[in-house]
Amino acid sequence: MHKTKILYVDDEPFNLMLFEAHLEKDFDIITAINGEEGIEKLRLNPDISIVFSDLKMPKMNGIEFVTKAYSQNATIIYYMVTGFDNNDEINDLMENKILKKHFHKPFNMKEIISEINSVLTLKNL
Amino acid sequence: MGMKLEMKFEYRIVIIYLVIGLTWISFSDKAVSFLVADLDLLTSIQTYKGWFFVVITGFLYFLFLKKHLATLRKTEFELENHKNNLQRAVEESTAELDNAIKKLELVNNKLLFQNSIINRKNSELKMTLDDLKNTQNQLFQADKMASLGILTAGVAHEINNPLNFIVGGVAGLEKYFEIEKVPHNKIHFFIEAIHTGVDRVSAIVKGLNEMSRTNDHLNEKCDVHEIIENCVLILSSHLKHRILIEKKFCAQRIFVKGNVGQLHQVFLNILMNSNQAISESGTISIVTNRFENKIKVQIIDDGCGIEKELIPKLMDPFFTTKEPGKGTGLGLAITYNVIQSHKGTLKIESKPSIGTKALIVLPSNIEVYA
Repeated sequence: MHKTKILYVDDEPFNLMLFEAHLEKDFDIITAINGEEGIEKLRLNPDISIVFSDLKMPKMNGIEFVTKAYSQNATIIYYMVTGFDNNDEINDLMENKILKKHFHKPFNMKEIISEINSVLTLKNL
Repeated sequence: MGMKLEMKFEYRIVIIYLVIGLTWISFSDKAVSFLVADLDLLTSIQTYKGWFFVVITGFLYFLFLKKHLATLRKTEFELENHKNNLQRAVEESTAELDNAIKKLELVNNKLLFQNSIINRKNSELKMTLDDLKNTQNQLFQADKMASLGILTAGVAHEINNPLNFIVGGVAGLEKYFEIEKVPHNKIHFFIEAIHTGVDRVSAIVKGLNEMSRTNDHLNEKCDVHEIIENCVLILSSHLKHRILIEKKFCAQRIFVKGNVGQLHQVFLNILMNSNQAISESGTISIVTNRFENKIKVQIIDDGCGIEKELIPKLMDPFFTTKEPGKGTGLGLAITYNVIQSHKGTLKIESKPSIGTKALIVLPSNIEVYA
């Protein structure tokens, strides 16, 4: 069966490795080390259905990346992951329905997995 | 000496009268009987002699008396004058003294009045000095907290990434042990130690984030009584059966412009502290009132109290009297920051073994009432 493709963008290699290690059993995880690479990966894999992005990244931060990716493909579900507390920019994206939800680091894998599953169930309905 | 030679007037005048009388009577009889032979004429002349004697002596008497009495009257008059003069002099002097006394009294009263003004100004100065010291302390505290806020904001988020590595790494290990069916017993404790460590660090980071949070909106209409009721409800499981909550709310509803969530934190933190200060059973009183354009909330418990030396440290981040691991010690630091950002003040008074009182003053603008 075709596994759902999920993109994760983060400037910390360990975060990428851990995210992939914990989810690769059930999902096809694609990673990118910065926003530009993320856009590139989206282009190469148009069937990515879910995107997770870190906020604080050099060159193109999470806000910029998600905004750009959304403008190219609004059917993808976007999530922000960050060590920061809520801030206005994230709230704005959520209010405009660009970002679906915002997760805190350190990851609560159970929470993330259950969110992914519930979203996929809705999609398949 | 003069008295002896000069006989008193009454003796003199009687003697002169007697002498003249006796002499007149003696010689006039002889002269008349020598001069007049007729008996009838003699008798009438005797009578005329008598009248004559009386008139002359009366006249002389009158002259003497007049002279003497004149002197007497003059003396009396002068005495009266002197007496009057003396009286007047005395009265004038008395009046002058009275005047002088009145003036002195006035001066004295002025001095007393000025003295009381000085005393009052002195106590006002003392009060101002106390106020200044208080404000200075508050400014120090605010400055300290502001610096800490800036520091912790940066530190907090930097920690989250490495924390993520640890969590992810340990989760991976757990999965590995499961898949490889490695015997769990000893390893289980190590893994739990890592989890506990991570949880504690996360709690601290979360608390630090709250402490330096500046992006919450402070324009909500907060019903203070409602918020306090909510907090009591939230903590009811801790307070039930053990602690009596006495609510002495003021009659009017009181509102503050701020952030409802943050204000919940304030009261939750303080009530939780009171709860933890009471070991077996006790009372927490919550008193609210409104004065001028401020509202005042007092939370008073009869718990174990706080030592005097510790009170200045209460709102320092990480200061706690609990055992390590029980609480982050950030509760009052967060409470303080929230109250500051709401433009209020927080003061904690305590007496060991008697209890603690937390006094919160918040501005309450009239527009919010509308």
